[in-house]
Amino acid sequence: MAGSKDPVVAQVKRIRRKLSRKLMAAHRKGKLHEAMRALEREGIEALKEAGKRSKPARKRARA
Amino acid sequence: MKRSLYLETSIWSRLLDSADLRKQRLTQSFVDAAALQCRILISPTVPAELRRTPGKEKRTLLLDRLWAARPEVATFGARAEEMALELLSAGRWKRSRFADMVHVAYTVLSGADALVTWDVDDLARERPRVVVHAFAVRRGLRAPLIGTPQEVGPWLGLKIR
Repeated sequence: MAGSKDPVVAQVKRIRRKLSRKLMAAHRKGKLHEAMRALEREGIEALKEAGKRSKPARKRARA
Repeated sequence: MKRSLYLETSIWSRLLDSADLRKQRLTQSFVDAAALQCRILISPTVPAELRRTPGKEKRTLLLDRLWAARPEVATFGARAEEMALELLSAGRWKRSRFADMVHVAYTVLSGADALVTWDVDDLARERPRVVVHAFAVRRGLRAPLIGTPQEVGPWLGLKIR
């Protein structure tokens, strides 16, 4: 997997390679399921936080 | 019935790409059109990856943009990682591609019409398309198209301004 010439894709791939290493290490220890659920919780929490940030902005827009 | 599209992380990251305004605008138009005409799907892996974007301000903006698009978040529990491992094996890809295969697995499991990506180096290439198609068909599942917004838009007849 060579580095992409596209900086956006290259950045995503760097993140994904690190994640793959972490998840595969968990897989070797028989802990892939736990690692994946933790990743999912992290993603859902990040989305919830974005939702909370948007509430004051929506209130301001309605006012 | 509305088409459903799985938009992986490179699509959302592109929304703040100031280096390539043509692709940035195209992606914004694509996301806008998809929001009106399709179901937009993501997995929790998408915000988890965006959360790892360098630069606090940028990642906050990216997550806010993602949330504003109101995507449906698909979760499949252990089936996602099991399928990602099977896909890795089916394509004889390196372990460093596992996270790529997680997105493919979510796309296949959710029955999406397409996986939309800007990754023309790995995902949106002929071999992954062929492998994923054969993999899904063998299991009696919908085989998703894999392509860039430029490709997927015309394939699905999306009206993009």
